[in-house]
Amino acid sequence: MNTQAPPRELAADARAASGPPPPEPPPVKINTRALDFFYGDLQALRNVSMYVEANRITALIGPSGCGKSTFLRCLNRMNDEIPGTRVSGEVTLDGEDIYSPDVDVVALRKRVGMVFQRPNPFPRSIYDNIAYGPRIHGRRSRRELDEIVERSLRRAALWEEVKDKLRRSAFDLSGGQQQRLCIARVLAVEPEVLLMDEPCSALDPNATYRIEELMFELKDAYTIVIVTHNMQQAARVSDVTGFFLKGELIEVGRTEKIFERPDDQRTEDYIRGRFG
Amino acid sequence: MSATRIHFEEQLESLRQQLVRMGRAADHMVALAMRALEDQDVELATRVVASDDELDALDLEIETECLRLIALQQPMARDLRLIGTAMKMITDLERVGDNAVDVAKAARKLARDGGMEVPSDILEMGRAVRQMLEDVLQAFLREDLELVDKVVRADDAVDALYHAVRDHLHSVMVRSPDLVVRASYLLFAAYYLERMADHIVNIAERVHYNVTGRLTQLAKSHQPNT
Repeated sequence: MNTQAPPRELAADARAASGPPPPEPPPVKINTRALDFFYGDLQALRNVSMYVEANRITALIGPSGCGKSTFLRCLNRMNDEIPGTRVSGEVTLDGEDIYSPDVDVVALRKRVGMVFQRPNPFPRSIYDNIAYGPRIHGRRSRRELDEIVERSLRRAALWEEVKDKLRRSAFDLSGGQQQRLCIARVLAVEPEVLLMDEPCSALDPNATYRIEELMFELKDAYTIVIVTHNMQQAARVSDVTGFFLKGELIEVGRTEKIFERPDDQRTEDYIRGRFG
Repeated sequence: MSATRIHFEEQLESLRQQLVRMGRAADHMVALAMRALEDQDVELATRVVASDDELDALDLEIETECLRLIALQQPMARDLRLIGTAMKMITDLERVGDNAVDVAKAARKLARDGGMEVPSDILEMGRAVRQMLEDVLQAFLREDLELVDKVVRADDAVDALYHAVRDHLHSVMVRSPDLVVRASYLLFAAYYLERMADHIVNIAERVHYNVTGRLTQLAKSHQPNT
């Protein structure tokens, strides 16, 4: 199915069980409606309608080329940077259409930050990697920047490891540390949403574990959407999982349901490893 | 499908067959225990007691295989449900075997104490339990929810037979105090057959979960306030 049930239906399983009533579902942070996306003549997304709940981790899974990363990049208009692309339908952030002509894309990407598959620190010091974003957005005071750098590195669980070498090159860090630096860099501009495109695929298991731990810690304050090829990771960390196939959103729901008893046979075949 | 997936599917099929094999082994123990009871055959009863080791070994073998599959394959969806179902089924099948041993021990004691005619309702309980066991194994193999319902309904009949046996043996004990000890062995045998039926209903509930993905208490006796 291409449409996602509204929040109260998403909690239907919880309500059906005996016991005290479950808490109210969280508000919707991002909503897409009938989203189509084209790379030239190639249609990469077809009629995708789903919402992302606030302060939850939503995982997007599916085989290579299914459109999940394209979808992720639609949520902060990163696809705008690719020539020849076209989008139709609606994407809203807190109810506001992000593709409206009067939207400031830079401001949008401050609110909806992104972490990529390969860590991509700037060729600068650790300190300047974090301070770069706030400086762009007008923060100039040294004391203020120091506070921002420390706060961001603490939130990314990296402060203790780098506090004595903030002036050293970011490239001196390990792969896992660089990825946490990239997360800290996003956090420095006080986003509301973190988009993470296979953030652990270039990392070893220990570094992956640290990033997953960090996601759990961050979701209280941020809304997180993660694209992953690792189904076990999606099962471990996410609250909601959406399965994409050939540009379509096939099924989306609570992660425990998707991995224990999915509704759609294609979802079941994929997660059981029968294809993809 | 990839070679690894095909291999995993073969392992899952092997798991299903092992479960059925354990179910049939438990059924064989019940059959022999009932014959030992009816014939008051001490030697046969002793063989039933000894055969419990084979069932325990199957229990351990299947559990080990389930844990190995979880560790190595990270199963999802119906594969996960199958392995979860298997781990619960073997516990109930192992208990059916234990209850068969209990029936055999009651038969042995009854025979050594002079014997007594076995009420036909107890024999009928034995037949009903064996039919329930066969039906639940078929329900599992065929993912047949109608057979699951049939097993659950059959438990009500076994419960009714148990109550009838209990009332009958109580009146025997009152009328003939010299038969109290021997009648009590028969009462125990009926009790263990009723317990076997309950374990088979547990298996039916797990089969239901395996098919639907929903954990549900199907039998009235498993529901609160009944």
